[in-house]
Amino acid sequence: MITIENLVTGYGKIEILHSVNMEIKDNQMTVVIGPNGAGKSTIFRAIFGILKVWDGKISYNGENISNFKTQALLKKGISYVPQGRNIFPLMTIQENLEMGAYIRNDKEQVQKDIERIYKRFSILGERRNEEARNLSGGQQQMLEMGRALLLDPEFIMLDEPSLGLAPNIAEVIFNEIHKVKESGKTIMMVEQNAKRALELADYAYVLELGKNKYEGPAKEIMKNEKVKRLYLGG
Amino acid sequence: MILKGKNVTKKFGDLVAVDSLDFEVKEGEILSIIGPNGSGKTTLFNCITGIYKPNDGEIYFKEKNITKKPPYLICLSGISRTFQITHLCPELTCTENLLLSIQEHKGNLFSRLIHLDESEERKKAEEILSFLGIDRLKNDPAGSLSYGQQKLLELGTVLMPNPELVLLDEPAGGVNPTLIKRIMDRILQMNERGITFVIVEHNMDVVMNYSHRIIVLDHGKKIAEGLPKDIKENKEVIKAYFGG
Repeated sequence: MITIENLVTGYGKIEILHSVNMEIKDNQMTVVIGPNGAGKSTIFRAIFGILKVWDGKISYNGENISNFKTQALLKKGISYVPQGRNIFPLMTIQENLEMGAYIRNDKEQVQKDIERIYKRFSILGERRNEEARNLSGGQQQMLEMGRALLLDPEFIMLDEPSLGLAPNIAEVIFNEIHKVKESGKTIMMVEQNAKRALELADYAYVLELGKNKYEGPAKEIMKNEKVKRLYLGG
Repeated sequence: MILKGKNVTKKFGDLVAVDSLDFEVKEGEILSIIGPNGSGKTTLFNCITGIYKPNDGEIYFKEKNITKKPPYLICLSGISRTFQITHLCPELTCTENLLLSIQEHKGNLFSRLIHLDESEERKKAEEILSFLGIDRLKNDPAGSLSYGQQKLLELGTVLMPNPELVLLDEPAGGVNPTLIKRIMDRILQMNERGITFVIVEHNMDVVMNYSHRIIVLDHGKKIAEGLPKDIKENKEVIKAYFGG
């Protein structure tokens, strides 16, 4: 679905990715792990048109999408949930969720989907008419994930979906992501809760200092002694 | 007892974020505070550090009432903290961010101006950057760092001023598992040298392996308190927090 060939990019004059190669297969969950600053989030930004591709090529279903505008990528069914709190603080929770479905035309189904989100994350339902800035840090993360699920994209990139979440809620999020994959979507995920992510994933890449380090089926990567010691905390 | 709270209450409109909470932090311990999202953990940190004024109750640091004190005085008295979302100066380099974190602890502007020799501080800053594995970024602006690297740099800023009590808000959040271990081992070393830690964290490996004691909050109230092995088996905590 997504092919990354010899991707080079960075910020200002600093080159972060030095010729990275990846292949994200249809209906699979691919996870990218690695130390802080390895360039994991940078790959997402390059795919999503936020960062310019300096060299190399990104293709989506065979089409070269390098340096496409973000809006055009959204319309093609690509979506991205960045790290940290990217909610609209002065809008209500309901309005934040509606914004997530902004480009969808099936308004009735949207409301049904929003109700489903409220069922999964009951605290969001209870506080649906409050301003989002009044939510705690972790609740804002729930809102962001809920909003991402409403987009109903073909290909979704998730940057640390479990960040700041209580263990039981993190599990709800992982189950939701798994269901999204089972429904036929393709997922690419960066996650520091690497063991849990590898359990759910089909394929894994290990990135270090902007270069490919290891790759393979997630179950094998999880058992790789070197990966365990260097990246999974032993 | 290095820190003590009596009946601490903080409301936002109708929402009681921290509800008549009594707590104690013993000198030299590592205390973890866990609980569901929205249970009042960060609000409690904000009450302790003077960012919020509690609606009711008192907080004592080394027997002194600090409840109505402004944040800078609380910080000067020896309490230092990190945030869930990092608070760094993005335009300044990593080294400069660390140096800035001690400037605040050094008398008035005049004494800072005549104190030209900061080589010792610079050395300490570089040591900390090297320990955190980000020394190659020492001259890069903090804003150019990845999220995880910014978390590490912020941890560095609380290690700079020699605090007595350190409050850490999700130190492991967004940090690679191997590095989490190194950070926690460093925290353990500092704890052995006498620094007291209060940690809010959702990573249960960290909480269970490194805390001496745990307090569990739910809806702003304390629902459990005790040793890691007891908290792990506490039915109410399992239901509210661990799941399963």
